[in-house]
Amino acid sequence: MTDKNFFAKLRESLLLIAVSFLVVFIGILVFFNYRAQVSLEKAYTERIKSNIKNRVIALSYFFTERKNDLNELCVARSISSFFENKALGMSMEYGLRASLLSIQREFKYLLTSKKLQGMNIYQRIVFVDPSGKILVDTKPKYLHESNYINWKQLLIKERSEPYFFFYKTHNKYELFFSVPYFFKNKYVGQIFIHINPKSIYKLLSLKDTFIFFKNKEHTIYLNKNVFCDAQDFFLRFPEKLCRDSKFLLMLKQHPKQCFVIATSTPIKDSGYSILIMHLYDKNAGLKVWLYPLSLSFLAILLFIGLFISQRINSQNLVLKTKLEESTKYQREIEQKNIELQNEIKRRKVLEERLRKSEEKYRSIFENALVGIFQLRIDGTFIAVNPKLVSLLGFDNPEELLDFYTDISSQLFVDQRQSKELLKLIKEQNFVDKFEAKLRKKDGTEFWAALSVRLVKGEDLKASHFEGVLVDISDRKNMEEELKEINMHLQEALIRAEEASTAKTEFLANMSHEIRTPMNGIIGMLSLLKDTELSDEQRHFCLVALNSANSLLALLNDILDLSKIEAGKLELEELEFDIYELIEDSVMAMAVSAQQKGLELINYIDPIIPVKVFGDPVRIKQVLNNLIGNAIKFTHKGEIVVTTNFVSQRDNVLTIRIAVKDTGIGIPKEKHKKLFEKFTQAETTVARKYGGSGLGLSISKHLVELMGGEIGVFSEQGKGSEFWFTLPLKLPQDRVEHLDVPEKIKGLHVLVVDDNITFLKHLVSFLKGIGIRAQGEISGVLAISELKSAFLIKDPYHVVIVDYYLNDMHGDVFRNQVKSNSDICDTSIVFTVPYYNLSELLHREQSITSSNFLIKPVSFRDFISTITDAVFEDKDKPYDIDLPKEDVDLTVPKGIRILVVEDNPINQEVLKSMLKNMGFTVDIASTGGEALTLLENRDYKLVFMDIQLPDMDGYEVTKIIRANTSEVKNPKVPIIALTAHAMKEHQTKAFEVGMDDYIPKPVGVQDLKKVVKKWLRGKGIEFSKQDERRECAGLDEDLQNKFENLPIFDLDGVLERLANSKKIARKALHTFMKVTPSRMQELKQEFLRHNAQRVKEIAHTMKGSSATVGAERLRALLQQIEKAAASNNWKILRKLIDDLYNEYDLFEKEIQKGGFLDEKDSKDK
Amino acid sequence: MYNRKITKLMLLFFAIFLAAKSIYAFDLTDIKKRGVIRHLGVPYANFVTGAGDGFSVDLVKLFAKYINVKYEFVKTDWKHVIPDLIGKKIEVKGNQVKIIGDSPIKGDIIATGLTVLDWRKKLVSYSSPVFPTQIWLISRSDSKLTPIKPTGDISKDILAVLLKLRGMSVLNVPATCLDASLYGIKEYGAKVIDFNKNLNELAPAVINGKADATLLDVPDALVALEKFPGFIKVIGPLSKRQVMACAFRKDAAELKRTFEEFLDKIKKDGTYIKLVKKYYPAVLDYYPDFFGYGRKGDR
Repeated sequence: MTDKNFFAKLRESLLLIAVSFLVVFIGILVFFNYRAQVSLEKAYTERIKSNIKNRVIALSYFFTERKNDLNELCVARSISSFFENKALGMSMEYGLRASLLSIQREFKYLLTSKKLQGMNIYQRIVFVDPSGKILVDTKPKYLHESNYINWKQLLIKERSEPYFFFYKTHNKYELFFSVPYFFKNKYVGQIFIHINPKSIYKLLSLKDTFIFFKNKEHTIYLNKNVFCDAQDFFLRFPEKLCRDSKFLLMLKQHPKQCFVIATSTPIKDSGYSILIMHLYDKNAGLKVWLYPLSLSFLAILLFIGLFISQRINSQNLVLKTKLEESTKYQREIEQKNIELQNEIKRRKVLEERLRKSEEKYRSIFENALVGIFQLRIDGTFIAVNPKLVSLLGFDNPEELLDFYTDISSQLFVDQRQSKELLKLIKEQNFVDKFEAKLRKKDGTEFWAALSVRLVKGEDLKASHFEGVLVDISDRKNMEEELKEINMHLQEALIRAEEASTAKTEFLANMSHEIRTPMNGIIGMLSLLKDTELSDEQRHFCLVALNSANSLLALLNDILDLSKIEAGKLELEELEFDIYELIEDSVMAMAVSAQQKGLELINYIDPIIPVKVFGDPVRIKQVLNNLIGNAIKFTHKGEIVVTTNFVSQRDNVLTIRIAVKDTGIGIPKEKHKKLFEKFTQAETTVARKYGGSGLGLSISKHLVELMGGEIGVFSEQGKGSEFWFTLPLKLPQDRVEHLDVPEKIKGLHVLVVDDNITFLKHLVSFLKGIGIRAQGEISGVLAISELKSAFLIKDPYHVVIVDYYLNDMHGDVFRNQVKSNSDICDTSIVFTVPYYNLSELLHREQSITSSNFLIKPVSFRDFISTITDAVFEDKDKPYDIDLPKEDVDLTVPKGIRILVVEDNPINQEVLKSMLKNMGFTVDIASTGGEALTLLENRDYKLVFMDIQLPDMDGYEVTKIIRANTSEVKNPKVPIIALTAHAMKEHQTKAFEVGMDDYIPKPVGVQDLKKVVKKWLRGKGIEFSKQDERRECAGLDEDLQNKFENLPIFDLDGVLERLANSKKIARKALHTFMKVTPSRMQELKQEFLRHNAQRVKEIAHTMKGSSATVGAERLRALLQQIEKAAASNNWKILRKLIDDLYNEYDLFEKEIQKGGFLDEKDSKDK
Repeated sequence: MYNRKITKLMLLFFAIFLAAKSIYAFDLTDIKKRGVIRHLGVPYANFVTGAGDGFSVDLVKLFAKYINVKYEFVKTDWKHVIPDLIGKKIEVKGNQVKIIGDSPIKGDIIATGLTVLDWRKKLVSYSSPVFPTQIWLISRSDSKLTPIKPTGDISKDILAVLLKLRGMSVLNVPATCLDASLYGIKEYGAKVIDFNKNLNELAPAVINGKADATLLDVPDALVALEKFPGFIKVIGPLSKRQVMACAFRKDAAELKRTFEEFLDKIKKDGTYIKLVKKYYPAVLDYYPDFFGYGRKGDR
């Protein structure tokens, strides 16, 4: 009975669970089905919206194309020709009408060519003048005059882009596109294009779709082929549509209502939106409620079936359970039997293993190659193996066991070792490889390594020791030998280091010993060169100087290489201007290159920062070596120095500098050995071109020391490209790039040069700094390009042109530009090779600072020249540092200053500034030269550049200040010329003995302050002026009298020359022969900002002018002399221009009088 | 004696007959017999382009088809175009012409934009006017000469142009409609320069600065304005309206009559206007009355 109750309860539970599951299942089905229906409906809606979206996109594209057509019309040649002809004054009757016909043809072509699915897009194109009068009309014949349009009210000149609008006639709308037309920035009319509504309908047509254009005022409906008012067709039009709107659209004429999906998209810049509605069938989806009902019915049927089958199964279950119980007991018994048998087997296996293990360990014990033992606590052996027996010199184990009663005293040679061993075992319970000296049976001593373990009993007390003993006598002997060898090696190392130090000291000493006389030779030869010499003597002197410089360069190379090999070369890490460094190197080589007729081109990627950290002296050394080699091995063509950005990571900038030439090239098989020392490409090369073959080897070492790589690409006869990479640190606080004024970005610049490489790099540089640049390779093409740019209303602001183009010279180019009214406003900047500057000055008389650049181009100069050319006064002379403080100097004669500087331009600038102040100035290009000069002359002040080719300025200063110095005045004030602004550099300068520093670039103001500070009290007077000398060059009285002076005073000449016409004639001939070149020299010195020389030349010419009676010339030269003395550059410029004019007048006066043509007669 | 007289008379008639036959030797019949009509043309503007087409070329080709003969183009120049038709050498001075010898006949019809001039009328027989024209003065666009303001009176306009010419150099082509002596230009102080190259090179010559201005007829001027937009400008007229026509030998009456029929036909069927639109669309707007249009909108 109990079982029956149990089963009954079980059945009920199961039934309940089944029902619950079924209910839940049905619910889930219904839910998912509903979701599916909703998704279907959504997909349907999305499809409709997608279609609408596609139509909107098509319409947007259509509108964009119409605007593009209008834009193309705006630049059509036919329209601009008409206005050009009109501007020329042509009348309709005589010629102008033909231009209108061209426009008409252009419009008609557009009308017929633009089609959409075979249908014309445009119905009409009209060009209307500002008064509203039609100039051109493609009106088809069928359009009636009733469609009159008041064009004037549709003109909108303020809009710059094409736009569209709807124009209402009495019962419909017309769609127009329009754009104002400008000719030479003046509004001259408007183009209107009438769109064929059929084309839009064809584009957008979709079954069950309504298309509207809506703005604030009205809603326009595209009714098949006509635009009409939506209010005429529909009721209840919504003002606003929400996203994915559905609403009821009611047609007026029919009682039909329809649900629609509407999407509104604004048309950019028009004020209109496109509104597209598509019919929406609400009944398109399936009925949602049917499925759940069907499912529920199915579930009930299933439930009934389950219940019946459940009842039948439960009875079967009871019988089955009883059967299973009996089977279970039988199995248990069987299981137990099996386990017992397994246990027996396992025990047998264990016994066997134990037996085998015992055998194995016994074998090990007996046969081991090391001594094994067991030892009692009292020091007697319990057991020993045969190896230990033989090690200790016994015959058998029993003999050994009997022999030792106390191993501490019997076995150990030194009992202290025994005690130590025991102590260690007690502390650690185990000692490994304890080395001790032991004694054998026969008293022989040997070294052994003992490994011993303390064995504890079950009571954890010490029971006995077990251990291993190994004979290490051989090893010990070897250790002794090794120790001795090491000692010998240490001694050898010390000797080698001493030798290296001696070598370095030798090199340093020899370097000084050799350099000193070399510098003496070079210094003396330099001084000799500047004295009065005959041509032959000068030639000998220059040859000797060149040879000495070459020898010194070779010595420096050898010393550098030795330093590198000895690992003694130390690199500096200084902040420097990478642009200045590269440009200085290139400029220094420019003359040599240009003398050989080679083009030297420099390019620096403008994204490279200006200030970096590194060793500028060594970088310059590598660069000079590569450029020097390029010049040496190139006979025609060009040399291009490019500096490119490679990467920047973690404040380290990597750049790549390459020097590429069109020279003799290097065979591929020689590339590997190029960078080895004393290697040239071929021995014939060494003979022909000279050179030590060390330059590249040193360059490689230096580059690798700086963390870079160096390599070459070359092929014989096809030139070479030597490149190297450099990792350079950037300043932590701020990364500074080239300073490019905002106002020049966006300028339109044309570069003209027949050297394609130079052209390409300069255009690339200009684009890199934000300038719109193009290039042309000839003057003719450039002129054509300037005109074309003007015509398309995008003229060039500046044209940078090589003065020596193949097809025309600069003066011809300038005339062609300036004589054309369209392009005459373009600023012109000429580029001139440094080598040709003086020849150019001879040709050109109107050179200013803002219209020429010297090649190779300095990029900073380039930027400032473009800025001046476009934005500054074109007649502005060079920048003048007018003193802010009215300090003037009175310098007695013979005050000598030394300038130690290797850059030729800086030399020139400093020398000029100091000479203007009245000092005598000497220049030294190297530290060695400086020392020689200081040893031979007494200088009151020294300006010392830090970066010099042979040694840095700090080193030179140390030598000057040293006790052993041989200079005349070791305490001479030394002023550092430094580009380094960092504090530690200034501190270092003071530490080595410098007195002051002056930052580069040096200004006159700073220079005067320093001079005043360090030369006060040394015979130099300083006085203040009450007022600045403004126009001081002009003597007012003289100016007033100038006009009254004769151009040529013949009587005065004769009076001065004892009435001898013959002498006077001769003097005039000489004057007219010499004066033009002197005037050129004067101008050249003016452009070089060398007031002192200007003054000197003017003074000389003044005298000779007076001699030949050129009174006005003389007066003018006097004014020039005074203006130069007061550094009045503005006045000087005007005076020098007047000088040329005055000389022309003088020449004409002489010719007019015919004095020079008279035959000599006997003088009175 | 009586027999001799008759023989002489017969010989005379025979001679006359032979002479008459030779007069008609190059007329229509002979051309049909020969099977080819020879078209004398000078490469000039769009009348004879030099590329095998042109208004005049197309016109004569159509005429050849009309009379069922082949077409042959015979290239000539302005100096020889009339001698090549009439077989006589001529000397022209201003409006006066003199026959100075014989030369071979090379063509049957002149159609090459030949303007009707008085001295030419003395030598050839012109067809009905085929094309309108006028002489304009053209200069470079940056020249000191400025276009006149039309007054509506052609004579006043011509005078206004002439008064601008003092001291100016003007190109002209002697013995053609561009002969300066026909328009009194020298009398108004202009320096006349003879130009002996192709007439198509007149405008380029002025652009390149060979002279301050040049004479051009309207068809050529319209072509030049299209070829060199912005480089030249029209100052104004130097002549009243002129016409161009085809020319025949005076003894080719049949040929000329047939050509007139042909011309009438193509004017009626629209072929003529199509030719004009093809080569000189602008001229329809300048001289609408010549082409039978009342207003501009009717085209």
